[in-house]
Amino acid sequence: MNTGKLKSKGAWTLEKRNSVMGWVMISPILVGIALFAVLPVLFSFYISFHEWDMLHEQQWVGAANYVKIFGDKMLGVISKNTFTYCIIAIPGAIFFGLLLALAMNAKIKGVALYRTAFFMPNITTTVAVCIVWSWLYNKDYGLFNNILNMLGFDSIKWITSKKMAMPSIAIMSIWQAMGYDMILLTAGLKGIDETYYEAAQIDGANGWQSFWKITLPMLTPTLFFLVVTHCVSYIQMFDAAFIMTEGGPGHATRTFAMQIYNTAFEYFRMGEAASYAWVLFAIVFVITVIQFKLQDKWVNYDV
Amino acid sequence: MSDQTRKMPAHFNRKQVNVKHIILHIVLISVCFISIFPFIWMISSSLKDSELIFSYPPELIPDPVTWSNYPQAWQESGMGRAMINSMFIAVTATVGGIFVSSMVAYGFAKTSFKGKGVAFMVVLSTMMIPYHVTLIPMFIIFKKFGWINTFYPLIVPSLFGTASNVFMMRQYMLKIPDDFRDSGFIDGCGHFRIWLQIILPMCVPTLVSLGVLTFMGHWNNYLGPMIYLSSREKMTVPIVLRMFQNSYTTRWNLLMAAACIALAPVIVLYIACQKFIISGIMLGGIKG
Amino acid sequence: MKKLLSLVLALLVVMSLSAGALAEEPAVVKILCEASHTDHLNVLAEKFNAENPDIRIEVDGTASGWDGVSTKLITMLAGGEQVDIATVSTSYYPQFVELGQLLDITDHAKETYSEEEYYWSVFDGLMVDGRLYGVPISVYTLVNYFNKDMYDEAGLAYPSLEWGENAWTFEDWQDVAVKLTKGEGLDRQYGVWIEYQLERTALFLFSEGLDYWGENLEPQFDNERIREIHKTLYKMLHEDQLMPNADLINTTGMDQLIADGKVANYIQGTWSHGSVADSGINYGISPVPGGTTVGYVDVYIPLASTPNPEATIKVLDYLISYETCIYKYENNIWGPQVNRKATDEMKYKSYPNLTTEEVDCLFASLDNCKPLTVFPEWAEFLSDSLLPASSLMAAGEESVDEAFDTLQEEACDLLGF
Repeated sequence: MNTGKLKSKGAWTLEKRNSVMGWVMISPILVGIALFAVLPVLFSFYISFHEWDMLHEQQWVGAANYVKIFGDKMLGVISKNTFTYCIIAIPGAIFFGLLLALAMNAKIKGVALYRTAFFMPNITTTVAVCIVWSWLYNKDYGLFNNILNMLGFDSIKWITSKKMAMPSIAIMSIWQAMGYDMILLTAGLKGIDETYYEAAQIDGANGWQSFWKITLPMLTPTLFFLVVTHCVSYIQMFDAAFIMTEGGPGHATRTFAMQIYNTAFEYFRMGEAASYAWVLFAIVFVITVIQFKLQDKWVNYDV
Repeated sequence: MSDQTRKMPAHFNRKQVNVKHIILHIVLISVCFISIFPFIWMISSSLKDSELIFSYPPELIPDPVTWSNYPQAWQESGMGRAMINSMFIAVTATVGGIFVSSMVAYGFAKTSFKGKGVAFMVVLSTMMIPYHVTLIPMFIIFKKFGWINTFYPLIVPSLFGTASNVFMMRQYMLKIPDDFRDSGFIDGCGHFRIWLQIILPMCVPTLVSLGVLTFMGHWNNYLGPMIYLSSREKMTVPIVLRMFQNSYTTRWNLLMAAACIALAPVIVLYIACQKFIISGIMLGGIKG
Repeated sequence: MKKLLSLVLALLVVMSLSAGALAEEPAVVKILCEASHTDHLNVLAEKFNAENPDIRIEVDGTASGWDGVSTKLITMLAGGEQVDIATVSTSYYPQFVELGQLLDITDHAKETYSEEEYYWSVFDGLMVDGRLYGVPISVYTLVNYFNKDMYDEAGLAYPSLEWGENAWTFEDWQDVAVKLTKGEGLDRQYGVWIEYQLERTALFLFSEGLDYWGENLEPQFDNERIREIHKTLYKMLHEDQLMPNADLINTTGMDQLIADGKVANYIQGTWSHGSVADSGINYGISPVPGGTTVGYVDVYIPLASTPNPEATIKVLDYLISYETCIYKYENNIWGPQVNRKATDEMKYKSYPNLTTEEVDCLFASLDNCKPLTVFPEWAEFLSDSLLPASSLMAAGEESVDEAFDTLQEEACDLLGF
């Protein structure tokens, strides 16, 4: 009886100690989130209902900023541009990443060397990448058009035409990201138990069939991770378009993030910029929620 | 089934394997070429005379090799100072950030307390907030602190730990058996000492891998310095490169030389820490 | 021991106090300038600092492009950073006046800058509601630089040096464009060039008494004649290829094209005179076709938030003083200056490559220019509408009618018509 009481008291203190220490240890990030995420997000929401140029007093304008941006054709333009970019770059990067991962997963020599090369673009400053690529894309002297001409095709106005500018930037992003996706997908492939393939082989499945029936379903958690993280980051694309085309030609490569930046730091309409930011937030939020809702339909966590 | 056949997917026979491998190598080598070609092009152009830059057809190996582009670009771009700045920002933010993140990760992986799940979800959900939503308020907050045109806005936020690093490190720590922690308890250590003396040393590879990735993120950051820094002596590498691009739009050889200089540290770091980096990225793919 | 320590401490305190009192810190005047102005401003600052130990000019040239300066200036002001003087272009000046962040120097200017010493017409141009908020960096106009060798080779007479009604016409210019264009591909030489940018092409409007804006700023982008002029230019650029296209310029660089003798007539601001002179070609200067050009006045604006208004005004005086203007002329930078004496003394000397008549022609452009119509929303209209539309037309991505329809709509939206 005595010992029992002692024991339960000891367990309680351990639990309490655990609990207090747990909170203490995670407290930095909670403080960080409060200061650098929650506070700014709320503040941004507050600003979005004001007219403010950072130099004068803020003026409450109600929902006027939202009314304005929803009446402005720019919202449509930037949404379309951002969407075009995402719809090319995200599947593109994952698709090529997957192809590379599959190729590297066949047990061949030189994998480490290939991997080094494939991942190189990913570590490079976007500024440097853009400088090089804007040259590769050059209409008259660019390498791509040189190659096209040698093969007997006409030159393409890569980044100087409205139609091609955004796809061109997306192609550059695919080039930059596919190495990263490849590494993650390779990890996913390594996690698939060989016995599944053996069983499939006994059942008479060919390589193609086992890819569709085994490899792809087993990779869905990794694919899901990639789609979700890419969506969040690609919707915010800024650097590439800002540096390579400055949003042009016309408004063809102006993205959501660039519109926020321009409105805030070039026209100093902080309220309007904050309302753009909140629309962006809402879009990211809805897309992420939908993805999590839809994951039951295609993501396979059984293994 | 013999060991020999187990290692290879059984539906290939040896001849097919060789043919397939050759095709694979050809494909992989061409992709490799695509991946690194812009770099080769960059190096090659950085060694060209300004007249050779536009020669048609393009020459890959410059003749003559113009080394002088490098000292000239170095001098005119002011890259030296920028590198010191970038290095300072990236190193402090990375070292501090990784250290704190690992403590937070330990809190999530190895302690148990009420509300841990909710707290973790909160941390993860912040990864969803677009950078630009917080951009303006953060600017105003830092302005209130008097931190505009200082390195603080680029360093301090990461010193509280970053959600993605916490997530990745927690993944890794979950794989470490709790027995290590419990043996620490038996020796009379508290959580803090267990983290610092037992778990942290076991996580070194992960710390390095995430550290290198974080470092590169800071080194390559463009928007932050552009907004927060204003004086020339505080500029970072991407900004200086961009400024150089603006004033040298047509002197491609110098521009490429400056780009090569700017890239050299990251590429060296990458090649040296490759293995770590790859294992670091892979943490994201582990089911948690 | 303790005594010794306190003695040392006391000594230190006294020393630091007296040091502060003796070496009085000079008042710092920070100039935020466009990147390309940095080197020369640094030279001027050094000179000034040597002569005025009580004031120290610091030059910050990290912002490139006028839009870059504007962004940086407002960010710095919002961040409470000290900026005393900034350089802004014509386009941004009204915006900053409207923001109400500038030091009003009207009274000082009226007292200090005499009619004899300065071209007051330039200051008048900077007045907003009778108040002055800056001093001119330089007065620029668009002129035509032409390659004499290319004219000689083609056996053509040089353009007339007369401005106004007697100047060569838009049609003459088109004619010359055709005659001086020849060759194909990379060897092609082009008869003329003007940037396909509506701010520049305004000069063709001005000589016909037209403008993009009506009397009450009603947008005129639906004006048929304005469209017709731009269609002609469009055809010259894209169809007839009488001008180098944007792609070519982006890669090769205009300077290089000029140096290579690939462009016979080059309509550009007087700010580019230095680079034309450096190109080593045998060039002359003539009026722009139509005889009325566009005038630009870039401005040093003093900020009201300056902690040292007196020092700031002293620096402004210095920046348009006789000796500064002489320096600018000597180094052939920044075009015609506002100081009469320096101009009279230097105008022939500073353009050694030009004949006396050509120099007169260059300065006569000041009397034959019309400033761009600008308003507080202009900077935004410029970067959000006018420049994108211009670049689309320059790239051949949109026809003149498409681009002008958009411009008309956006301008009406912005200005509330």
